[in-house]
Amino acid sequence: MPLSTEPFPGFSEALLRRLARFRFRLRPGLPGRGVGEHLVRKGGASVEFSDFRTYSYGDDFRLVDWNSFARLDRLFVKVFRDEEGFVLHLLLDRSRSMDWGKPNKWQFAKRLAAALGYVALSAFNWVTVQALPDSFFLKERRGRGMIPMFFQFLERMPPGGSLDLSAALEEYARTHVQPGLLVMLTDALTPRGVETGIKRLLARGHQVVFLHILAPEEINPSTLGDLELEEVEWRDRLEVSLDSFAARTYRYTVQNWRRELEGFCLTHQVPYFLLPTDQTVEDVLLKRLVGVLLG
Amino acid sequence: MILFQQPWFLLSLLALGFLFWLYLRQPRRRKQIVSQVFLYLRARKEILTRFHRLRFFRNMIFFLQCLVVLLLGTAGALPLTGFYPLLGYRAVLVLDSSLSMMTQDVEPNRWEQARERARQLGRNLLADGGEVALWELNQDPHLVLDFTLEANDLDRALNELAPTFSACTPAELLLERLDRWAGERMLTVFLLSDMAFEIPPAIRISHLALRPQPVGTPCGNLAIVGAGWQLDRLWLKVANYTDQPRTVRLQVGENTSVLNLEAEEIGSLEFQQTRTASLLPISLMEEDELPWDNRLDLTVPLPPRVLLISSSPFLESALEAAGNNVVTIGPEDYRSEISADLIVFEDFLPSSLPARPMLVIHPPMNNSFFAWTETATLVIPQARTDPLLRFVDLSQMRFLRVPMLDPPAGLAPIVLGGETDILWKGFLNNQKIALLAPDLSSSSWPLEPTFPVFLANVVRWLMGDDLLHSTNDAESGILIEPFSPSYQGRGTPWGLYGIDRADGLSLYTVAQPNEQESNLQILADVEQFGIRSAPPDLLRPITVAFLITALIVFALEEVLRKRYG
Repeated sequence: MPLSTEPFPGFSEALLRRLARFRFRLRPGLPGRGVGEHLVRKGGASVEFSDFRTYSYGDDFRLVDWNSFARLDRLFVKVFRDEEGFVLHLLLDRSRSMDWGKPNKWQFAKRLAAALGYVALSAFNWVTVQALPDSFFLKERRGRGMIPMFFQFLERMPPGGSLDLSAALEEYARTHVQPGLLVMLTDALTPRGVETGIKRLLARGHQVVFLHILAPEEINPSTLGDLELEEVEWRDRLEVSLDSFAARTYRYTVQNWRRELEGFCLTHQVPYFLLPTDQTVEDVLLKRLVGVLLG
Repeated sequence: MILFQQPWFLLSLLALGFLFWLYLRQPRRRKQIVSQVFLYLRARKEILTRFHRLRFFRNMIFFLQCLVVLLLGTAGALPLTGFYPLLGYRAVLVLDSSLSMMTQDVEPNRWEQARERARQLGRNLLADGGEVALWELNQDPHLVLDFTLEANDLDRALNELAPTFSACTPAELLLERLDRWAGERMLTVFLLSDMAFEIPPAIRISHLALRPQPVGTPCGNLAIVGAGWQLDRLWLKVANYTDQPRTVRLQVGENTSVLNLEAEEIGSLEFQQTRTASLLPISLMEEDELPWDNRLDLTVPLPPRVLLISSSPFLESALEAAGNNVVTIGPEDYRSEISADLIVFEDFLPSSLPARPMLVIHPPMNNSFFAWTETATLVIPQARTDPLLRFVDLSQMRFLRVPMLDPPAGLAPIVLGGETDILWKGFLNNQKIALLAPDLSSSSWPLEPTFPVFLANVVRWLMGDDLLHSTNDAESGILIEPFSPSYQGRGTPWGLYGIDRADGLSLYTVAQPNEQESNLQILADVEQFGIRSAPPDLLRPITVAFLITALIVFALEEVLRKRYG
C-alpha cells in the first residue's frame, strides 16, 4: 500500500516546518536508544562542546586543548555531548468516551498525537503508538520517512471499545520494557482511576506526560433540567435533575477530580496538562507544551 | 363581582388550555448521551436533593405562565369593578317630577316606576354602607331627604313624596344642581327620569345610549302629533302646547311651510306631495324644550295599482291623471291571479268576483251579479251628498242609455235616475264595490273635467284606510304610532346610563323601560351594577394593576426559567 505523502488533515506546511524545529525535553538519565539527534549530557562524539576535564592516561591526544596547556601549563581535554535517540510512546485512548463532545475529543487527541509523533520522527527518534483498548498498535518506527505511514495509521484509527485505563497502562508497562518518553492522551474518564497504571509506568523508568483531554461540556454542562443520562461507553444510566445549583456542584466535583489527578502527577513528577478541546492543537503545542515538553 | 367592558377578550383565556396541554406534553426526563456518569455519581447526592426543588420551580414556572395569561386576558377585557370604598359612599337620588313623568305608557306610570327604582337603588346603596340623599327635580328642585344611613328614612320619604309635576324642563335646573355638587368628591348622582329633555351640552356624555321616548308632553312644547296620506296629499297635525300663539315652520322634504297656531291649538297642514320617495323626513324648524317629537320620518306609500279591464281610452287617461299606476288589459286576458290593489271592470265581469275592491262600469247583460234586461233612456241624474261625488257636478249631465240593474242588498244608490239608479256603492263579499250603470260611450261625461275627479274619489274610497297611515288625533302623552322615528330600532331604549362629568362627578340615569317586559331586565341591571362604576374613558386602575402584575410575573418567570431550566 503506497504511503500517503499528504500532511495530517488540518496541518499546514508552515505548522509542520515549525514543529520540525522542536525537540522534546527529556528527563536527565532517560535511557536512550541508538544514535539520534537528542543531545545527552554525557561525553560523546558530537560536535556540541560540553566541558573540559583533566587529561588522563589514554585519552585521545586529538581532544587535548592546547590553548589551555599554553596558558596554564596543564593538559585538559575537551568533552563533547553525545546525540542519542529515544522512544516516544504515544498511548492514545480510543474508547467510546473519547468520541464525544464538541469539538470532538478523539479528533483532537489524534491531531495532537500526530503533531507530537511528527516532532519525534523529525529528530530521528523512535515512535510507537499504542491505542487503548489495544486493537491498534504501531511498532517502533524511526526517521522522517516513517512520517506518512505514521499519519496514515493515526488517520485510519477509529474510536471504539470500552477501556479500563489503569489496567491497560499496567499491561503496557508489563509488555514494553524499553523506557522512553510516554505521552498519555486520554480523558481519564474511568471510575477506577489511572494512578496505579501511571505508577507502573514510572516504575519501568518511563518519563510519563499526562495530556488530559476533556470537552467543554464535560467541564461545564450547559443542559439543565430533569435528565436521564446514558453513558456512551458503558451504557450506564443515571437520572439526575440539573438546575443551576446542581450544575455548579457538578463543576466543583469535576474541579476536585482534576485537582486530585494534578496533585498525583505533581507528586510523581509527571507533567499534567488539562486540554479542553475548544483550544486549537496549534495553541496547545505552541503555548502550553513549549517550554515544558517541547523545547 | 367583576364586570367587563370587553368581555369577549376573555376568550384569550383559552390559551390556558394550550399551556396546560404543553405542560402535559413536556417529558418528565430528557434523554442525554454523556461521556461519563461517574462524576455525576459523585455529585449525585447534591443533585438528588435538588430534584424536588427543581420540580417545585418548574411547576412554579407553569403557574406563573398561567398567571400571566390570566392577568393579561383579564386586563384586556377591561374589568369594571369599582374600588371605591363602600363605607362612606355617598349618593344622591334625584327624582324627576316633571309633567312627562305622569305619562302612563308604563304601568302604573313613569313616576311610580321611578319611585320604585329609587327605593331599590337606595336600599342597595344603604346595604353597602353608603349614605343616600333624595332630591326632587322639578320647577323648584328641593331636598326631600338629607344624607341618611337608614333605609326606613328613605322609604318614608319616598312614600310621603307628593310631586307637583310642574310643566317645565329639568335640564337647566339639573345642570345648576350638578354644579353645586361638583365640588364634592366620591358623590354619585342617580337621576331617575324619563329623560324627556335634552341633555345640556355642559354635561359631557360619555356613554350616550339615550333613546328618550317622544311623549308629546305639554311642557313648553311643539310637536308633530299626526300625519297621513290621502292620495297625493300629505296632511300633518302640529300641536302647540305652549300658552302663547306660535308661528311654526315645517320642512317637508325640501319644501318649507308655515303654520300659525294659537295657544294649545292643534293645526293641520296639507301638502301636495308626489309619491316618489320612499322615506320623507319632516321636521319642525322651531326650537322648543322637547326636541324628540319635532322630527319624524314618514314612509311614503306607493300609488295604488289599478287593473283596468276595458277598451275605453278615457278611463285609462282619467285613472292615470289621478296618480294611479294603471295596467290595462282586454277581457280575454283577464286572470284572477293578476295582482292589483283595485280592479275596474267596464263592459265585462268575470264568472267570479275577485277578492279586491273594484269599480264596475256598465256590467254586461248576462252577468250573474248585476243582471239587467231593460234599458232606460235619457236619464237625468240626481246626486246625493257623498264623498264619491266631492267636486263632481252632475246637474247638467244626461245619460242616453242606462241599464236597469237590481244590485244586491249590500249596495246603496248614491246617484238616482228616476226609472233606474245610476251609481251605487257598498260591500259585496266584504269587498268594497262601486257600481256605475250607464254606458259611458253614450254619454259625454268622460269628456267632462269632473270625470277624473269622480274616479279619484272612487279610488280614494275603494282604497279606504289603506291610504291613511294615521289616526286623525294624537293626544298628549301618546306615542305617535304611524311613524318610524329615525332613532327607533337603534340602541337600548332604556336602562342604566352613565353620564360622566369632567370634574369627576358622576351622573347616572335610570330611565324607564319602554316595554313592560324589559322592566325585569332594567331591574337586573340596577341590582347588578349597584353602586359600582368606573371612570368610563380612562384606563381603569384595576386594568393597569393587572398589566403591571403581569409584567412583574413575566419577569419573574424569565428569571426562574434561566435559573432552573
